[in-house]
Amino acid sequence: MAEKRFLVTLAMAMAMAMATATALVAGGATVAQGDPGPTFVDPTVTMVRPAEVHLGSLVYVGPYATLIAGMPIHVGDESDLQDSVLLSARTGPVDLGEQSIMAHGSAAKDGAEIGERGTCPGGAGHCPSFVGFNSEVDGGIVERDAMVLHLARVGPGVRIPSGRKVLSGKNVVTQAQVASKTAPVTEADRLFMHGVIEVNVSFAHGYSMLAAESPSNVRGINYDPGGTAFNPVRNLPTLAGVPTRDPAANARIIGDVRMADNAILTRQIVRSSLRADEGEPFHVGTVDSMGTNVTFHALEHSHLDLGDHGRYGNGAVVHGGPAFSATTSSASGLTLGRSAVLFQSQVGDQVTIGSRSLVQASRLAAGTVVPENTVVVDGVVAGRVEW
Amino acid sequence: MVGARARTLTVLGVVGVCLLGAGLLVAGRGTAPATPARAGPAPAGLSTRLDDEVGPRAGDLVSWRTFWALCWDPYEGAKSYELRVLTGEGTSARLLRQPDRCFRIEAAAGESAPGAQAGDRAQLLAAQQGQLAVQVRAVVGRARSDWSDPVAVGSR
Repeated sequence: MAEKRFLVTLAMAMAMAMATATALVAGGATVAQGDPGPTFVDPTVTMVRPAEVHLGSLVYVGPYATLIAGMPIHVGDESDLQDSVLLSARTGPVDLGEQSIMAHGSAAKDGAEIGERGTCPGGAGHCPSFVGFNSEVDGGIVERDAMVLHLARVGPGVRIPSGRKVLSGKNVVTQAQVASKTAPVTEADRLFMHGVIEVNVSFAHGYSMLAAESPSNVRGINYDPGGTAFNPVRNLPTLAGVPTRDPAANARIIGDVRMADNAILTRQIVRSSLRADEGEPFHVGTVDSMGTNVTFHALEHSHLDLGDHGRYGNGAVVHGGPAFSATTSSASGLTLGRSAVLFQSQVGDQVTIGSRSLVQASRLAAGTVVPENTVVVDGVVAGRVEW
Repeated sequence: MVGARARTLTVLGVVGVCLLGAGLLVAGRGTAPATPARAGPAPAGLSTRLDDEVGPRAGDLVSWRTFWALCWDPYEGAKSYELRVLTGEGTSARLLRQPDRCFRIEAAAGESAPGAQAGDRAQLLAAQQGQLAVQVRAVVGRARSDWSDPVAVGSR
C-alpha cells in the first residue's frame, strides 16, 4: 500500500466557529465540527493516510501519537489519545467510541474496538472506557464502562465486557480467560474515568486556545494552557535555570518543568513529552540518556522529582498520582527500561526497573533491580507482564 | 459514532446515577462560582475508613466489595459540602455536592479464592490510590471554605 506520511498541523484550525455539524478537513483528517467545541491535535502527531482518520468533537490528541489508517480510524467525541498512543489500522479498522481514554503509550490495533458497544451504568447512552499506560488492544473489543489497566493486553477476538477491568500485566487471549484476569469496575473507577474525560476535554479547549493565539505556542518547549481556576497562569519550562521557550525543539516540554540541564537543546532528548499541564512544577535532574516516546506527566497536586543521571528507555512512562501521598520521585541513577512505567512511587539511588515492568504505589530501596516484565504494586510483586 | 451529538448533562447523568446510592448530588452543569467569597479554613478532622462487604460464593470464589469513606467535622453554618475530583491525569472542574459529612464510594471489588481476598484487596486499593483523590470544602450560603488537602481514594 502506498502510504503517504506527513505531520499534521491542524491544531490551530480546531478553534473555529462550531455552530454547524459540517465536517472540516484539516491536515487531511476529518474532524467533526459540532456544537460542543474544538478538537486539538498536537502538531507532533503523525498520521498515515489522514483522509481515513475521523475525529469527533472535543478530542485531545497528545504529543507523538501515531495514527496509521490503512483502514479507517474513528475516534468518538470527548475521547483522548494521550502522549505516544498508537492507533494502527493496517489490517482492520480501529473504532473508538465516545469518551474513550487511551493513556500514555497505549495502542489499539487492527480491528480493535473500544467503547462502541456494551452497557453503561444506569442505562446511560454512553460512558467512558479506558486503556492504561503502555497497554495494547490488538484486535480485541473493550466495551463501554470497561478498563484495561497498565501494561495489559487484549488479544484478537477477545471481548472485555462492560463493568470489568483487565488487571495490570495480564494478557487476555481467549474469552475463557476474561473471568480470571479481570475484576469488577468500581464506583471509584467510574469517577476516575469521568474525571479524566473532563480534564482532557479542558485540554482540547485550552490547547486550541493556545494555538489560536499563535501556532508556535503548541510546539517544542512551550507554555502550558493555563486559564483554569487551579492553574490560572501559563508557565514556561526552565532549563539549567533559564526559562526557555523554543518552538523549534524536537521534543515537547510543556509548562513548569524544571530540568537541571539543557539536554533537550543539545539533542539528547528528542520525540519525548514532558508535560506539566497544570502548573505544578516538577523537577528533572540531569539526563544521561532518553529514548523516544518517553512521557513524564505530573499534576497540580502531585510531585514529580527525578534525580540526576537518569536513563529512560524508549516508551518509558514516569507519572505522578493525584495527591501528595502519590508523589513520584527517584534519587540518583534511575534506569527505566523500554516501555517501563514508574507510577506514583518513590525509588532510591541506583534503582533499575526492567523493560516493560510496572512499579506502582511502591517504595523501592536503593539498588533495587526490578526484572523485566514484572508488575510491582504496593511494594509487592503482583505478577508478570504476560506478553 | 463521531457525529456532533448533544451531550448535555452527560457526565452529570452518569455520575449521578453511579453515586445516587451514596447520597451524592452533582453540582449543576458548570462549576462553582469562579471566585466565591471565602467562608473560612478548610473542613477539619478528616478521617478515612474502609468497609467490607462479602457477597455470595460463585463456585469456589468469594465475591467482595470494599467501600472507602472520607469524613470530616461539622462546619459551622454549612448546609452542604463540595468535593473536587483529582485524577491521575488532572483535576476535574466539575464538582460534586452533598449534604452529608461523609463521602463514601466503592473503591475495590473482586472475586477471590478463599485466602486470597486480603491480598487482592490490598493490590486493588493501592492501585486505586494512584488514580483518584478528592478534596472537600464547605458551602456556607454563597461562600466557600478553603479546600482541604487531597486525600487519595482507598487510603487509610
